[in-house]
Formats: sequence, structure tokens, C-alpha cells
Amino acid sequence: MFISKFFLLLLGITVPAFFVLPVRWRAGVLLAASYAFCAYVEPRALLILVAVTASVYFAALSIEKYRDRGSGGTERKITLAAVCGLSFLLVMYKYAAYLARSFGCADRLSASVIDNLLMPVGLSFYSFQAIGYLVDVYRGKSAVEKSFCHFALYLSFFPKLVSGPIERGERFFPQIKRLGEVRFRNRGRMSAAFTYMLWGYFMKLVVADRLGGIVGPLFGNPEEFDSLWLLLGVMLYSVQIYCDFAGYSYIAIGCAKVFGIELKENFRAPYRAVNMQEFWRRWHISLSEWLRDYIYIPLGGNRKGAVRKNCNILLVFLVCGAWHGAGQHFLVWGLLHGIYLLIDSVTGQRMKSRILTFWMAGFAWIFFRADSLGGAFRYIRQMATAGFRPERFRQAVESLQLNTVEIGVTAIGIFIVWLIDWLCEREKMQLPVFIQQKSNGKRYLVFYLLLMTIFIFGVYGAGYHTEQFIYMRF
Amino acid sequence: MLRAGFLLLLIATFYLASSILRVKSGHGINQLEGLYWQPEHSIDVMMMGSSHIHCNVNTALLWEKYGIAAYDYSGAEQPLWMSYYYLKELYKYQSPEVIVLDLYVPARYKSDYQYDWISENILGMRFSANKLKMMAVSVEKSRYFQYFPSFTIYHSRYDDLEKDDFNDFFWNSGEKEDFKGYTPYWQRTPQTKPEISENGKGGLTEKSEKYLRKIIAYTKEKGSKLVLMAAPYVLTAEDKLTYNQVAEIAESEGIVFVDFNEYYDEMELDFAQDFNDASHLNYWGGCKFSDYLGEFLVARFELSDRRGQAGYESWDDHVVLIAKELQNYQNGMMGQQEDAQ
Repeated sequence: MFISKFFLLLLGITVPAFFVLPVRWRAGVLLAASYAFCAYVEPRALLILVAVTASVYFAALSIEKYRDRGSGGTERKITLAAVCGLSFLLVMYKYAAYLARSFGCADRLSASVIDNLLMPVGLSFYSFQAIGYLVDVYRGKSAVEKSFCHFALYLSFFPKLVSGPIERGERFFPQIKRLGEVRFRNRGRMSAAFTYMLWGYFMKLVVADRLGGIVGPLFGNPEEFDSLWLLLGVMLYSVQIYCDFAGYSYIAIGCAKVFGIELKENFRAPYRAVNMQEFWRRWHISLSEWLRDYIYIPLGGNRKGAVRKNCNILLVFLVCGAWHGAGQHFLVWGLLHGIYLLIDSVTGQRMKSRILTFWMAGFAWIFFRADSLGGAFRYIRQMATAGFRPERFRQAVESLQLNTVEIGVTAIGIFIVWLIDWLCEREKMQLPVFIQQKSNGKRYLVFYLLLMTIFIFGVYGAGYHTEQFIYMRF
Repeated sequence: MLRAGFLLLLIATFYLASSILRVKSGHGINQLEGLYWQPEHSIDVMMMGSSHIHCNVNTALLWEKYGIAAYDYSGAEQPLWMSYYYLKELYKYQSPEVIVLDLYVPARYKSDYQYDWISENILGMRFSANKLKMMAVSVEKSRYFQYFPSFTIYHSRYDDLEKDDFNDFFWNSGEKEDFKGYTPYWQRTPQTKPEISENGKGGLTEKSEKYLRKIIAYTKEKGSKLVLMAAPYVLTAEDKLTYNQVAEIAESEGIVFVDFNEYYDEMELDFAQDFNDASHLNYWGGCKFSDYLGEFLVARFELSDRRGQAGYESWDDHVVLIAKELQNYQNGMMGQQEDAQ
């Protein structure tokens, strides 16, 4: 969505409205923009978003009321009912269309019914936020938000609506309350916001979408390629999904920063992890932490013995897989990660290898990328048995539509992402923060290079069908 | 200071990248873009319409033989609603005495949206209200962003660049000025001379008629004389129906319409030698037609002979340019013959 003309138009209207209109209207301006954004992406999704917002808002008020009265369990029942309701909604939308297709009922349902069963945009993300919020209110960890506008904005804030990060109320609400203090002329904030967005667009348009054009045919027809190409496909998809999702997150963080809102950092050079446990501390951080705080720890975490701990890990990653999509291949992907973490746990994280961690994650991505479990196994079988066939190299290059310039741009793009990850790891900070510490000349040079690279080498415009952000589907 | 420098560098790089990556095409883009490089208010006769203009009307011959400062301001399969906005764009820079408009496209193509060659008619126009209005009537809303903004269309041409792409900057304005739109074809494909005796009228679509009348009104408002015509090609009876309808409209509006397909013999067109294909004359056929057209224009309108006048040197250079193209073609042919021997 961040590459649509509507988004640029919305941003072009929202930014002046935010800073020019009276400061007390700021939350309202952002909420209106968020609802407009949601309605543009999918009108049906707005209805569901408003319904969920209202239900959770009143549920939270009731929980607080009964908790304060000490009503002996009513607040627990309300929390349970609301969490179950949200979970049911999530499961229904994730799995209804899939189950209908799996059991052959799809033919008997009209197209409009099937369309209405598809996942509304953003539900996966804001329903997790809502569950976290309700649980925190129940536990007394978080105060209930009295302003409906602020609460609605917490669930719907447009930079994070479609693909997160999954924000926590305790971080978000205080920032909304301080919106009035945000000044337009704040060079550091605006400059960092601009850098976040530029870097995000670079990762998405220059690297991820370019790789999408190569990865698509490899996963679509693995039989046409030899083992070497398919191994390369695994590697390239690993980079693609990282650049796609991290790129989205950086754009979201930069966009929110324009309005003075700090979103949670979602990626921290994940492929520099030396084991899978560390990988999950760096990959989709807001989801990993949510799963830890609202599933793993309530299940007992590591407090109830090794067997229970390992079961909890497997269960958490099964939920993680199921959350990402309907289909056995997503469950296997989650299960694989659960097994990886079990191995880490059993071996006491003695294994420390970046390359091995990358390929373990990459192997699991096969299940994530494939259309089905059968598709994943087909890819793996071909990768294991096809061998090296140099005589088909030219044919493969042609079917992937590769030429010297494309190969060069792709390779340089990947190298730059690797270099920046290495730099950020060394400096222990994100690129935009690092850039702020440099002289104006160096900062402008980075802006210039990124802008021109995106303009020329970005995959956008007619003739290109820029791939939807991968994480929008989840 | 640093910020200004950054902006300047950005603009300069964007200009360079855009100049290099821009699509260059002799099917309409170069013709429209070339207009912006012409000396202001220097063109006396503006030739408008489809490829039947820039393939058939030899502007070098019109200059050399009649002293007419003409320009082929056309695009492949250009419909009348695009010609109308071309016309509006034109008057920002030029004030021609005569506008010659070819009507092959409304006679042959009946759809209200014509996409086959639409990019050729869009990409050359600078960003302006005219461009946006032209897009609004030429492209359905759902396809709008397939053609606009232009940079999003051609930014990925970096793996398709040729030597000519590095010759499109403002410091090459002299060469740009010498181009007058004429893009000759060199093949010889024998055709059968049509025998059409269609007297019926009709076939002009509502949209085409609306814009034809707008063009007539606009040229009258601007004080230019409008000549409607059909340049010679292998005519069909269906096309002739539309030309008859156009002739009627022209008569009612008090303007000239000439179907040059009726003068094949007068202009001595050789159907075995003078056609590139059924729709276009080749260079030699174009010379015959342009000679006939020049004679017609000089006889009909009081056009100044601009030869030797200051400010018209680029037409002399244009003649050299076309002569060079002919020479290149002949050298190529000789080379081929030698290879065959």
C-alpha cells in the first residue's frame, strides 16, 4: 500500500492538516486518515475494524469497572469472552475460505460469500493488539483508555494498520496524548523519518520486488531448474521476504515519526543471528514479543520443567505458523521453527553459526513461500535430486529474464542491505539513527544516492506489477 | 546552502537520467518533443494527424522546392481528441498560417479509446494542463496510471539504452531543431491500386465528429486556415464513406477537404514502387505526394517563401539531414548488393 498513489495523496493531505489545524484535533485527523486508508484498501475491512474497536473499547471499560468493584470474577469472564471472540473472528477469517475450499464447499458458495470470508486487511495485526490490550487491562498492567478516539487510533493508525508492528497500549497511548507537543520544524525527527522511509522504499522497490521476479518462476516451476538454481531460489527468497517486510516496517516507522509517533522496531539485522533463538529476537520483534508475553508465559514458559517448556515452544510456533496463513505448509513452517528452537534449547545454544542459521531459516521459508505442503516438498525433492545441469544454464537465465544489468543491480542491492545490516550491528543502532550522527554533507549524500537509486532502479510504474507487500496477506 | 546544493544536484541528476532514459521514437514521441525545440513562431504550415503525416509529408522537399517552413506534428494512429490537445499545446509556441490535418484515423478506427499506439502520442508532451486533459479524454480511468507520469513508464529502460539515448540534452538543441518530424520509410512493397466509387456517407463516430468540430472551431478562433485531407494510401470503400461525411462537414464549415486518394494519377504514384506498405508511402512516394501537396498549398494560400530568411537556417540543415538519411539508405543497399555478389 505504501507504493500506491492514494497513500502518497493521503500523506500529502494528512501532514499539512495535522500541523495546521488546532492541536487538539490531531488525534482526530490521524483517525480520519486511518479510516480513509482502511476504506480505500478494503471498504468491508473498515466496518469490521469499527465493530472490533467499539467492542473492545466497551469490553475494556467493563473489565476495569468490575475489577475496581472487586466483583469476583466478572471481569475475568468478560476478558475471556472478548479474547475468545477476537480469536474466533481471527480464526474464522483465516480459515473459513481455506476450509471451504479444502472440503469442496467453495463451489457451492457464491463468489461474494467467498470474498466476504477472506481476511480483512489488518485484522491479524489489530486483533493481536486488542487481545494484548484487554489482557493488560485485566491484569491491571495497563490503564483503560477512556478516549474512544485515542483507542480507535491505537488499533487503526494507518502506517501500521496493514502489517504492523504490533504495538502495545502502554507505549502508544502516552504518545497520542503528547501529539500536541509535536512541532513540524524538528530537523532531527523529520530527517530520521525521511531516512526510515527512503531506506524502506529501497529495500522494498529496489531489492524485494526485483527478487520477486526471480523467485516467482523458481517456486512456480521448480522442475525447470537444477539444484543450484533452486538453492539460489531459497537464498533469494530469504532476502526477498526480509527486504519486503523490513522495508514495509521502516516505511511505517518513518511515516509515524512524521507525526511524532515512535513505532516499535520490528527488525534488527535478523540474518546476522548466530542461532535460531537469536533470529527470533531480531525477526518480526513485535510478533515474537507478543507471542512470548501472551501465549508462552501464560502457558508456563520455562517455569514448569523442560518437557513443558519444550511443549510450550512448539505450541507457540504452531500458533505463529497458523497466524501467518491457512494451510498445512504454514503449520509446518511454524513447527520447523519450533523444532529449531528445541534443538537450540537442548544443545544449550552451543551452535553458533550465521551461515547455518541463515540456511535453516531459508529451508523453513520454502514451506512459507510454497502454495501448499505438496508444493514445498516438490521444491525440496527437485532441489535434492536435480543435480547440476550446466547445459540448461542459458535456458534458466532466459526463463528468469535475467540480464547483466538486472543481475548487477540485484547483487549490488543485496550487498548494500548486507552492508547496512553489518554497520547497524556494529554501531548497535538503526541506519536512520546512525545517519543523524553524521555531518549534513554525508547525510545529504545518502539521501541523494537512495533517492536516485529508487527513482531509476525501483520496480514501479507501468509494465511492472509491483508485488503486494507479502505481509499484507497475513 | 548545503540544502540548495543538494536540491540542485538532485534536479540536475534527475534531468540527466530523464533525458537518457526517455523513450525516443519516430512514431510520435520525437515529433511532439521536437516541437519544443523549434524557434518560436517560425512554423508556417503544421502537418497534423497520424503516421500518414510523418511518413508521407517530406518537410525537406517542401522547404527545398517551395520554401514552406513546415513541421510534421503527428503521432501513430493519433485520434482526433488527441490532435485537439496537440493543437492547443502547439499554439503556446507557434502561430501557423495553415494547419493540415489528416483524417485516416477517424476513417479507419472506430473505438472511443485507442490504445495500440497511445504511448507514442502521450510520452512526448510536457507536463501541462493540456496533457492532463488529453489523458482524461483518451485513457479510461482504470488505465490512467499506465501512461502517467511518464517517468514511471521509462525509468527502467536502463538495460535498453543505445547511443542515441545519450544525445538528448539541452546542449544538443541544434540537432533537435533540425528535426522537423519527417520520418521516411524505405521499403518498396507493391500494392494494388484501389478502384473505389463509393458515394455514401457515414462512419465518423460521435466522439471523432465532436473533436473534429472542436478542431475546426479552435483553428478559426486562432486565425489559422485549416485543411482537412486524406494522404494517399490503399483506400478502402469503408474509409471512403467517412471521407465523404468529412467532406460534407468541411463544406458546411466553409473549409477545405481534399482526399488525395483521388489524385493518384495526377501525382504519378507508382503502386509497384512508391509504397512502403498498404498504409504508408515510402520515401519516393512521399516525395511525389509532398511535391503535389506543396504545389496545392502554395496555389491555395499566400505562404511566405522563407528560404534565405534569418531564423530559418534549421530547415536548410533539415534538408541536409534527410539527404544524409537517403545517402545512408543507398550505401546500405549498395553494401547488401555487394554482399549478395
